[in-house]
Amino acid sequence: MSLVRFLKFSLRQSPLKNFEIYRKLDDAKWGRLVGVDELGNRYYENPEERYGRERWCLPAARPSKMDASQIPPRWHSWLHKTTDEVPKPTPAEDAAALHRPKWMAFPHYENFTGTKKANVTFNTVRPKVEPWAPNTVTRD
Amino acid sequence: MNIGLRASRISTKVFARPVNQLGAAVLANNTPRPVAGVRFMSKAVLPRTQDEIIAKPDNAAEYVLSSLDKLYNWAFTASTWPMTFGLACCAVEMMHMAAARYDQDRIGIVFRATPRQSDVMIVAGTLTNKMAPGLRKVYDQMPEPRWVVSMGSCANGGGYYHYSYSVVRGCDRVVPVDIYVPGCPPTAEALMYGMLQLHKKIKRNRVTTMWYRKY
Repeated sequence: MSLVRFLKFSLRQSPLKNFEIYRKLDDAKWGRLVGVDELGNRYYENPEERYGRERWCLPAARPSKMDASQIPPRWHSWLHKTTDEVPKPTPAEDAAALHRPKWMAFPHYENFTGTKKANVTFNTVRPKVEPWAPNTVTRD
Repeated sequence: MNIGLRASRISTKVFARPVNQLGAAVLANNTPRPVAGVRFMSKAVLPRTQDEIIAKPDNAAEYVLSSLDKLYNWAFTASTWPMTFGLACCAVEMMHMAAARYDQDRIGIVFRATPRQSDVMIVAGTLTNKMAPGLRKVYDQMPEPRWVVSMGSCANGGGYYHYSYSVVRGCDRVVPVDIYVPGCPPTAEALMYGMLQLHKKIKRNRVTTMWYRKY
């Protein structure tokens, strides 16, 4: 069955596309392109696939830079079947379609852990403990 | 009419900014004016972050060694075998990561029940005072390089049992932790994400380059 599935999906698209899919998803995949988000991630659907595998995302990033947090929240809810509604191409159009006020539209960003933009915590309260400074008085 | 006005405003804004000879806008009034012919704010002059110092090679030997490091890291991330330290309900989620749906085996993670042959320790659950010496002993038995993933709020900082008389307030009081996975318990998906973050952290590691810089 696996070989049948492999051949069925692999022969429907170009070898280059297949190579990209194997590199990024570790699986043979074929489906209808549903949409592209603002980062360039492509979202596909194939209802013939097994339950739970019908919707997937082909990330735009290189395999070493791929991260689950690169998927915007609205596309995330589509991927996880929270909704069947396909988000609009840009965040601004999406906010307008949802009648969301401008101040509520929060630009999505990926997890910056391990990069320059990583969140660094800081303290704003005076420390509870005063460190001991070993200052010795020299004898005359 | 309106459009025309707007366009004119934008254009004045753009050209009003003082521009130096290299074409870069002068950032503030107190920045020293660059002398003509001298490269101003070139990349080599800017201080590098710690990550850049580690990641970027400085000479020919380091170029070779950092490539070796990358090869080593690639091989290492292809098979990170975790030591299972299941202490509580988090362990059930850890088992879910091993099961069919999240199938950790496809990214080369196989549970190894001996510390002497494992690379990563997943501390899953509440670490009690009684268990703490055991955890440290198991950590000490692991070969270098070793990594620790703290899973769930109990292992991160005591969690629900923070004020208990018999619980260690975070396993980082006993062992050095690399990745903290939040949640009570974290889902198998969250733990999988944590493991992938650990893989990214391992890939930033430079073993032989650091050895070369030391000598």
